[in-house]
Amino acid sequence: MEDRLSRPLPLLPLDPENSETASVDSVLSSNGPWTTPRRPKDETQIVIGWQAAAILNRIDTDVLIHKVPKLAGQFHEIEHVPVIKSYMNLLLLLQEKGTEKQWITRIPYHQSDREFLTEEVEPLMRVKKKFKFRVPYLYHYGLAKDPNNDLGVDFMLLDFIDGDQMKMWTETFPAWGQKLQVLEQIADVYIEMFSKPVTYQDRLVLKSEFRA
Amino acid sequence: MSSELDDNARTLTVLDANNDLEGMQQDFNDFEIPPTITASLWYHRLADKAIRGKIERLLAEDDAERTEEMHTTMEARLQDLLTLLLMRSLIPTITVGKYNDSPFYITHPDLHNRNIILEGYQVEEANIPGCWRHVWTGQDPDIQGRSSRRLVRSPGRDKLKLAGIVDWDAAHPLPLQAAAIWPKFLETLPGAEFPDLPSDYEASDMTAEKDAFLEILRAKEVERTGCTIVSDLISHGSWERDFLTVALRRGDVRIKWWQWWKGQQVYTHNKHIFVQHELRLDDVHLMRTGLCGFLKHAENNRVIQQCQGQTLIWKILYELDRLEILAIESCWLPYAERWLTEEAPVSPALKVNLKWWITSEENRHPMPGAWPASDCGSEEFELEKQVPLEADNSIRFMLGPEDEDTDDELETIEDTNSALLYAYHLKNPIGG
Repeated sequence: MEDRLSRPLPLLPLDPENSETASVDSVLSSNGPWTTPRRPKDETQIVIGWQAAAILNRIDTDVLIHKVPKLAGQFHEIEHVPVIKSYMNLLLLLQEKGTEKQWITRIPYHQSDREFLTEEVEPLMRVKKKFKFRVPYLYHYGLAKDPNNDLGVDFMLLDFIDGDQMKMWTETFPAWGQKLQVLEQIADVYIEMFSKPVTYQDRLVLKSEFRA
Repeated sequence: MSSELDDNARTLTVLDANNDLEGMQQDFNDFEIPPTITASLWYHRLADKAIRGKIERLLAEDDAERTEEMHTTMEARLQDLLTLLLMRSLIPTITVGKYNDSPFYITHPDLHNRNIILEGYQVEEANIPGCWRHVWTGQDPDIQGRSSRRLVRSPGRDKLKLAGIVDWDAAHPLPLQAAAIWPKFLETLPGAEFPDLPSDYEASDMTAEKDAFLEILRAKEVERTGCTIVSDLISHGSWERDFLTVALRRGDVRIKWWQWWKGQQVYTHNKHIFVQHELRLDDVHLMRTGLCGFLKHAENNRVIQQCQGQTLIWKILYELDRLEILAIESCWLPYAERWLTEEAPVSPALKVNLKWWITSEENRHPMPGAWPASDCGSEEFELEKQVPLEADNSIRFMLGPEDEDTDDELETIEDTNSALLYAYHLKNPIGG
């Protein structure tokens, strides 16, 4: 574990030839809970893959599987940890054994406590209970510098919104009727967002969150 | 649902265990909400933050922090700084005064396709099973060969249903007119398009979709509130406001904004930095701060070491003129000329370890106010009269000698007059 923590996280852009970090594929093929959906296809994905590998090398899988799920409020036995690579974050999907419950452990590639707090955690705290429509619920966050954070990296534990990302619209896709269905619901989202101005109470709630 | 768990059951990270983290916590809580600030002031502060950040990086002594700047040419750095100043001066022209005092809202400013999660549908031929549907593929299957693709409803579903909205990283309180923008899946900004779009992707202008969205939103607004403020703001000038907001935050978008602004017919006859009636004391010093900061940086890095003293100032004037954004406005002209041609305010600044910081303390500055009309075009430039000695207008300057041995002589000058007079004093010491 110490070896993992002592490894510095590489900064973008990575040079795979000069990096001592293992590729994401080699990490995923090693012993561990990781599974992978597909191989990287282009250069961008390779860079992201190396970032992901650095994170995977650094975190303690025992903590991830046995401790992190408890932060969601109850005990969860995790069966698989699929690895999802997004553009800026590594997403580890915690799937409960025997059920369809899923949580996301979101770890930014660029590890900076301050930016993580202000740019990632704070916005999610703002919207946690604010709207009727669903947003990822923030159960817990940990900072890399926090001695109580056993995972050792900046991370957030979120609930997983299952579904499909809406595909890019074109003139002919999707069908007009389906576009209207989406627009109707996005208009509802707008109405909801603009019906709740920021109040002084919001500020107090946010402060209380960080003093908890 | 799990999101309904009692917060008390959660265990949040204990931040107080570390002083550094506690410091971050303080920053964290330092956000403003109405009625503390107005929309106009919010835009100005956004610009100020960007300009300060730019200057800070230019002045950074640590090479690592300056790396980003060192990859660009002096010309590019100067243009970027001036673009920021230009954008700041244009704020009064893009804001809607009617809603200047409106509430702030937390909205999703980046509502593009990937952040909208829909329940139970799939794209024909896209056989991405289960949890891997969110995998970054780099290739959007419905973009290529899109003509043959259709959404297929899952069995038992009558319509597409919104499952949720993700990626709230940019969800900060925004004034109404900054929050009321098009969803990004209907209209994108230059420089802020998706990074993985295929080169052959032809974006649609989405005119019909936008009209439909406005019609739906307007009807819902009327039903709920009896008015159409949000939809009206979206349909009038929201793209320009959003473009400016994003460009103030992102350098890559700022380049596109500059290109867009240069091409605007409305400005071709007068490509100046507009400093309009909302000119405040801050604007004056921000402008000079930017120039001084850049000059200091340029000199430190021997970028233009061949230019000294007056020549250095004329070099800047030349750049301003070449970029066609020479700062000229009726009541501002005397001041601009004075700063840029007077050796006193600029040249001494180059000889000291100068950091011009406008304080960011809450409520430090009042609402942007009109520059006193009686001062416009005054032949007599008397600092004592131009800058009122009011507590609310005081600006903190940190000036100190360049020599590190005398760092303890740093002094804080609490008002603008003193700072300017200090600069004069450096040039023309009493008895010197």
